[in-house]
Amino acid sequence: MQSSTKLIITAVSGLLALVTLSGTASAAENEKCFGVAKAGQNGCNSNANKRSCAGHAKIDNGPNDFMLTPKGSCLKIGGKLAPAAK
Amino acid sequence: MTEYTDELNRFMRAIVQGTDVSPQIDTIYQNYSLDIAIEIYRNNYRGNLHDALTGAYPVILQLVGDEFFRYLTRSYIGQYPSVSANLYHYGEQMSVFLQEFPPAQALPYLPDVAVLEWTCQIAYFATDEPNFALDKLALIPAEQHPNLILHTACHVLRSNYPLTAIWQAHQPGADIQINLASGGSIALVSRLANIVQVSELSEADACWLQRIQVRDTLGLATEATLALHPDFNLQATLLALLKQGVLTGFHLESTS
Repeated sequence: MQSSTKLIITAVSGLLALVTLSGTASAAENEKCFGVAKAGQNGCNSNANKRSCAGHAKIDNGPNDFMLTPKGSCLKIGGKLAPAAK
Repeated sequence: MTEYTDELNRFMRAIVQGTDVSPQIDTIYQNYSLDIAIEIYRNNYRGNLHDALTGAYPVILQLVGDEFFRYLTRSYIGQYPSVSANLYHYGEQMSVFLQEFPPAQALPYLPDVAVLEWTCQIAYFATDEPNFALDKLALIPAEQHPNLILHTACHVLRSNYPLTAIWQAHQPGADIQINLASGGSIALVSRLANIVQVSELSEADACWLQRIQVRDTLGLATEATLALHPDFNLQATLLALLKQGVLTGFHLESTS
């Protein structure tokens, strides 16, 4: 108990000293307002124009075979995949 | 009244599952048949949910590509109807879904990525925590330091895959260099101001932090961690977590 107590006191004191020196009290400057949307999104209406066009498509496109194969950056991730691959 | 509810449920099934609508529904548009009107409604419903999932799962979108993601979200949307008026709540079951989704089985790390991205979503919308009051900490007598109980705002996720690296490689400007064989990862999700961060935790730091999260005293958590990881550096960890906004406050254990 003794040695860890000393270590803790050193660590906490060190923390206080370091932070006082650098002058960066916990850097969080919160300027968030209520109702701010996540970056790139604006709630449910973000794509209202695009969507109402897309929504007018009369044909319900079923999945094509090419949709069933991942084609993104996963192809660049090396290493072994699950045995089921291929 | 029951009849009205029945009609609403039938309408919901028509939109979500593609079943027939009630013959009692009529359209007021001259140029649209009922089928086309319902199809437009359904496409808008799916489109909004697809966009919500795109916002919640940007890394998965990049991992599998647009077409696969569109098919994936369409399947998810068919299986999990939206139950909240807030679209930011939509998508919580993605990890469970991906575990079972046959076309995704070749990418075994995908469910873990989904857990991480949903955790980021939760962190993004979490209520603001106060900044850590260092000035008040300075007033605590040194001999009381081991009795401090630290308050945290973060999530710790363990994965058998290099989860942190996968996430970081898909942030804007990053170059994708990941080897799946590089092994497991402990991801720390935190938020500084409005930015959600994902960083890698060492075993020692994770051991300590998880004890702090369940409100062990600083003394107990540190002792237990040192017993398992003799090279644990408390001071470095405290400073790093403070800078990341993980530490939000403290109190003294009342009984000692």
